[in-house]
Parts: sequence; C-alpha cells; structure tokens
Amino acid sequence: MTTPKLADTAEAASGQVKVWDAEVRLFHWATVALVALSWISVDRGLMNLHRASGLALLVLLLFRIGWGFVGSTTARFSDFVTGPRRVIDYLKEMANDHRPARPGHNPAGGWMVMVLLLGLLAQGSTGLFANDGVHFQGPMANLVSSEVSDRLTELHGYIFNLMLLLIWMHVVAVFFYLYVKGDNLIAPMVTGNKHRAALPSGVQIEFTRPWIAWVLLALAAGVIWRLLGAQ
Amino acid sequence: MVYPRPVRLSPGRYFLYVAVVTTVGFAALTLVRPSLAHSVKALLRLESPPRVTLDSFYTQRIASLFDEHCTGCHGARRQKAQLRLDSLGFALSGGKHGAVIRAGNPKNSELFARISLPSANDRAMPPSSKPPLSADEITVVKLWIAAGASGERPTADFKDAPKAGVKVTIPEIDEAAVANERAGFADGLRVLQARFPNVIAYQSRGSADLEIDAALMGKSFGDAELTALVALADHIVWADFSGTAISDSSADTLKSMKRLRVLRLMNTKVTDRMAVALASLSNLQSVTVVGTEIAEASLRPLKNRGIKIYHDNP
Repeated sequence: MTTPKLADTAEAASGQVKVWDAEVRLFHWATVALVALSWISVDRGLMNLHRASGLALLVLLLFRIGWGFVGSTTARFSDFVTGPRRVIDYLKEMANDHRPARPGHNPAGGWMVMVLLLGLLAQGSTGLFANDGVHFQGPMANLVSSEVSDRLTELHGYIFNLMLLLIWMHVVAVFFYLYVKGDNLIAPMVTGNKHRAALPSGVQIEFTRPWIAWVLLALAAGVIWRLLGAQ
Repeated sequence: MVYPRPVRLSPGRYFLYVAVVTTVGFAALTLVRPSLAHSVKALLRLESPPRVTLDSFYTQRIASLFDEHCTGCHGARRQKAQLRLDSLGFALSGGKHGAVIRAGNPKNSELFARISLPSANDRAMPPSSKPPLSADEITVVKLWIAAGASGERPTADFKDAPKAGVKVTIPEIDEAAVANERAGFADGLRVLQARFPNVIAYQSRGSADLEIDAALMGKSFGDAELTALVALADHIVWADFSGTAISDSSADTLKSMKRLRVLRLMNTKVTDRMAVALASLSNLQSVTVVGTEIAEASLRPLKNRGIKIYHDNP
C-alpha cells in the first residue's frame, strides 16, 4: 500500500527532503480556495455557487479524514495527534527557544489541524440543512422540520464566525514560525519539501500510492452523492 | 531550493504587529458589515441607541408594521442579510449591504425600495410567500423615512398618513340577513344534502357558512363527488375529507373554496401538488395532512403564513 521513501540521491544532493505528499498540499490549498469561495458567494447571494462550494468542501473533508488513516506518514492522524502532555512539552521547548525538528505537523499544530477539520465538517454539515427562509435551502433541509432547519442555520452562522477566528489563529501561528522562529512552514506546503537541516536525522517517510487517493476521493464523493440522494 | 530567510522579529514585536493587523482588519470588517459595527459600539457603549418615545409615530405605526411583516426574518431570532428591524437602532444600522434606511430620503432607502416592488419581483419584500404590505402601509413607511426616520416625532406630525387599521367588532347576528343569504343557495343545498346525507350542514344557527364532513362517506366520496359541491364553494368554511378517495385532481375544486378556514385531508392520496394549490386560499387557518404524501417542505409557505399544519413530521 505504501512506498517507503528515504531521501533519495537527488534529494540528498539538493539537501531537500519531501515531507508532504501532493494530496495533503492540494487538500490544504483547495480548502483555502473553497472557504474563500463559500464566503464570497454567500455574501453576494450566489447561493447555487455557495451550495456547490460547500458540497465540494465536504467531499474534500471526507477525503482528508480517510487520508488521515491510509495516507502518507505525515498525513496520518497517528503521526500528529498526540496527548496533551506532549503538546505542553512541545510548547515549553518552543518557549525556551528550542526548535524541535519534525517532518510533519508538530503536536500543537496537529491539534489545530483537528480543530479546523472538525470546525469545517460542522460548518459543511449544518449547511446541508440550512435555509435562508426566503429563496434557498440546503440540499437536505427537507429531511428536518423547519424549526430544526432554522436552528442549524443559526449554528451555521455561529460556526462561520468561529472558523474565521480559528483560521486567523492558524495564520498568526504560521507567520509566528516564519518571523519569530525562522521556520518557513508555507513553502513546504507548496513544494512538499523541507531542507534536510530542518529535520531530525534518519527521518523516514512513507508515501501512499496516488491511486489510493483517487479511490478515496471517489468514495468521499459517493458518500455525499448518496446523502444528497436521501433528500 | 533554499528559501530566503525572512526578517526575524522578537515575539513581543511580532504580537504587537499581530494586534495592529487584527485591529485594522476588524475595523475594515465593521466598515463592510454595518450591523457588526453597531453591535460592537453598543457593546462598548460608544453609541447610545436612538431615543424612542411611546407616543411617537415610530412606536405607534412603524414598529408594529415591522413586527407584523419583517421581524420574522429580520429580528432577534433570524437576521437575514444581517439585518434586524426589531429596534430602531438596528433598523438604522442596516444589514450586510449597508444602510437600508436613509433618513429623509425614501427613494434612496433600500427598505422602501424593496417593499414597493411588485410581489412577483424576486427582490420584493416581504417575499412572495408572505402577505405584502398594503398601499397604506407602504405610504406610512415612506412618510416616516421622509420625515427623518425618527423615534421621537409624534403621530400628530404625520397628518397626511393613512389612518391606522380600525378595530373590528363582531356585530350582533342579523337573522333576517342570514335567512336572506341562505335563500340564495337553498335549492342547490337541498339537492346536495339529499345526495350526501349528513355531510353538509350550516356552521351554526346564526350563520350561512357551511361545513362539509365527507369523512363519513369514506372511499365512496371522491373527486367527482367533490366537484358536485362547487356550487356551494363560496359558502364552505370548514371541510373534512379525511379517509376519502379525493386526489390531486380536486386541487382546482378546493381552490375555488376561497373562504375555507379549516381543511382536513388526512389519509388521502393528495401530494405536493395539492399543497401548492392550497397556497391560494387566503383564509386558511388550519390544514391536516397526516398520512398523505405531502412533503413537509411543500407546506412551508403555508406555515410561514401562520397557518397551523398537522403533518407526520410536526
């Protein structure tokens, strides 16, 4: 299922090591684009576009959850979801100006990822049942009473504000690493590579074959399609 | 590939910059979201709410009008387009697209423009599923905005405003008038009562309104039988077709019963098409569709009008 990949000769020569697979990077930037599109579309009353971007976001989120179990080493939840003790230890090291080297998400960042994923999932799920009381309703709003739909619409609005706060915290943290710790997290999320010097020695990352991602994406799309068929 | 090293900052300086950027960003957000600015100012007590007096035109005429037509979607519970009309302060602060009331200038006030549009227009408010404002009510809003959208100007300042709705008092029963009204369709009623025993009756001794209780006939009462009642359509105010064989084919017949207030269609074959037809009955107060194929969503326009709905998914 996975291909072990240590730094190969070309990578060793360039001093770069691949740490993020294409799936994680595409998921990250597609999510950024879709969240922005969802915000702009609802703001301008383009509700069909809002529905499409919300459904696409849900497909991506389901894909990412699956990828968290079968994806490459740095994509797996088991790699970056740690207990609170490790998070506290990590933050203490950071406060003492150490820079614990890691190829993937650090313990604090791992929790941020989980909170963002859950927040987006809650946002997308409530949107399925939402309505604007006038011209538009989510694709599954028919399955609940109008009172429940109204409540979920309200929740959809609250979660959006919470997501704005969380996204802002995420951005502040990323730039904190860049400007205070001198650790550029943005470029590796674009190229997939980190400099070998920024990694612990002997790091070994296994990359899952891309066809598994395609199967997972098709499954995620199928789940959403099936849900929509239930309306 | 070696990435260029960025400028290094101390944590204190970095968070100072973050605080500045956050403040500027939030301020920018309040500029494009006037209601957010209003909430923040109210929270920080930087803005006192506009004064509203009990005898003002706003309190006496506008607030009640907004309550009746607008605050269901633009109130404390829901804020469509981030607009609230449940207080003068909120109304003046506008929604996500900015101010909706421009004091002294109704023509440039979005609120006035929207309520003045024909109900078929997508942008008309209230939306087509809800009762529109009357011409008098629109005039009242126009005069109020033109006079400065004040919460203090007394009713006496609005001499040109159409009079407020008159309270309706129930008159004494006029037996002669009832008899006269009944006489107009008595012959037809007698024939139909003979054809459908115990199904058609006057609502009370002092009324010419009719009740239909076809549930008694079960499946032997269908679309053809209902069509026979068209001659009485103007007088039917209460009807129970539960358990009968009527279907969507009777939609037009039921639409002709314009005075219908209570309708029971429990355990019949009617579907969403019937729900759509019922929307044209402006006097409906209660509809029972338990055990039918009508989807809850199809009944939403009726429910939004305040009609009591009895459905499998209450």
